[in-house]
Amino acid sequence: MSVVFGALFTSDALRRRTAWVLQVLALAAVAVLGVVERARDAAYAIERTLFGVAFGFLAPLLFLALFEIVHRRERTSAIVAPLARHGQSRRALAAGLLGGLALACAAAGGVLGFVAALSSGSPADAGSFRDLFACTWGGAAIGAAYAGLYAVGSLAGRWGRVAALALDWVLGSGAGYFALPFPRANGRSLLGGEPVIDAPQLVALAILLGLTFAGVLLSAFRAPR
Amino acid sequence: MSGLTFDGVSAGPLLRIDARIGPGLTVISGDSPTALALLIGLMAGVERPRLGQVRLENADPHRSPEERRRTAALLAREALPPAPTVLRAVERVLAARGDGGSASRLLEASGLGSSARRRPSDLDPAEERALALAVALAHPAPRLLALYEPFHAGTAMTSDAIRSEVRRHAAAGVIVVVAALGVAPLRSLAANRLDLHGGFLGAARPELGLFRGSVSLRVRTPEPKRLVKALVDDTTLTGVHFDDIAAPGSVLVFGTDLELVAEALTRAAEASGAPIEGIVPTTMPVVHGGSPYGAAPPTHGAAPSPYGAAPPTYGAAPPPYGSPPPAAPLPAGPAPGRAPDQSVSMPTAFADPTRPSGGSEGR
Repeated sequence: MSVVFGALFTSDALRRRTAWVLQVLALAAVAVLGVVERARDAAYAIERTLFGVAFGFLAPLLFLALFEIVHRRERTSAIVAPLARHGQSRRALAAGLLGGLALACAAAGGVLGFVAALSSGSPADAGSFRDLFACTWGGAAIGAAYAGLYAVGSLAGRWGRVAALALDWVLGSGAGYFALPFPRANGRSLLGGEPVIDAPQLVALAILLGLTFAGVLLSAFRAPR
Repeated sequence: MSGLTFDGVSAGPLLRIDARIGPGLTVISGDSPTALALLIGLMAGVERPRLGQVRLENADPHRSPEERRRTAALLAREALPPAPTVLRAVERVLAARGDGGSASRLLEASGLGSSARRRPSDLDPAEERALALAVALAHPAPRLLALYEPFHAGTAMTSDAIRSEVRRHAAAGVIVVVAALGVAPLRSLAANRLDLHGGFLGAARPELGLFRGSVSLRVRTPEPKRLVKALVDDTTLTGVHFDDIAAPGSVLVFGTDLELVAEALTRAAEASGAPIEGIVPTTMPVVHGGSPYGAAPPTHGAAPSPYGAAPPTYGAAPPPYGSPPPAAPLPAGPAPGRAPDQSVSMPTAFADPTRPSGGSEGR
């Protein structure tokens, strides 16, 4: 029951106009820039769109915005507190809220990946359908991993989330050991970019999924019952 | 152990609180809104003590959703859970505690019937507290009802209606705690009375050997013994102290409300014929033993509890300190070399330990 209440918090917040406007703007920007990239040079246009504007710049900001819309500058514990005091478990409420956000971020990431591949790929390319599919589920995995990262950041409120974004930006841009726990590096590896510590894509996928579950559960279980 | 227990609880301005509050109505007056609000927050499981334990029916309300479900509280600052509308937020609150009541009816009761479609974040703090009071009082089966300043909740409910609801819950065996600044709003509630002063929760139970109260006055009079004799029977006071060697012309008077203490002094002066030459407020939050005149410094917090191993019990449960009263913690015992009858320490209720202390209804 508490998990459902937590998910309802997320669902209510993300149904606001702000959330939809932000997502539409992000998708529009990716679509326009994808078309521009393809027009400029069709070769590697998908890679430039995915690693550049889509998952290199807009996606982390979009996921952060979704977290802010739900959290309203606060920690997760502060959002669930008004209902927890009436007899619901803080942990279950937080798990529901963050789980809902992970699903929302995964959906947003999936759509972002799909639009990036669609706008920058060549319809004549034989592998374009496969690219669409791969970018969609890859984007979903990246979105969920960012949710895990921001869930941990939400233990410290807005500044925790901003710090998580900054660390991801700085350390996740590399490909060494420091980049290992960040969605940016592993997302890039999953989508066919530079691998992290030369690990295969499967490892990148495992790390992204691990980040999702570990982040959500760690953040939820840090709260008292 | 049943009831609501505080076991060495320290949090913020609260210092080593040891108490047990049983079913029935208990009112807590104090001089610090922060301390009172924190105390109610601890009871409701919203706040966590820095040291010690709060237990409701043997469970920590902060860690037990089950106990929180059976707790109805009005906090100093209220907030509705996130929801598209106020009505939906109240419905969620009711669903969270397993209450099948009507959210619309609660909104009407709190005077916010027209706000059902507003967003919860649009309510101002007074409206949130008014709504929270209605939600708390409408709890179908609470184990604990803890209210912070319910008579200043900006609600459409009248004070009489609030008192009536509070009494109804108390009569049903609920642990009801009402906290307020000063005692004026609480006068008409017949209840066990506690005083939260200087971070200490204690009592209006002077037979425990504590002088606690939000008011302490030093009264100068040439006839102190006559004045003390008239004062000791006044139940509106929490304590009277007289030391004819350290301060032969002064009587210390303790109470929880300045107006009540002044009235008691007037009555005593008229009855005894002892003239009052001057009244000076003093600062003396807690004295465990020693003389409050300064012969021995008062100790705070670190002093051993005068209650011994078991915390005091307030509420309907029989108090563990009946007659005769404990001898050890009595303040201002005769100093070495002083004749036993030269020091008089007479907390008012000490004169008759069987008399209920502090109740003011009907006076």
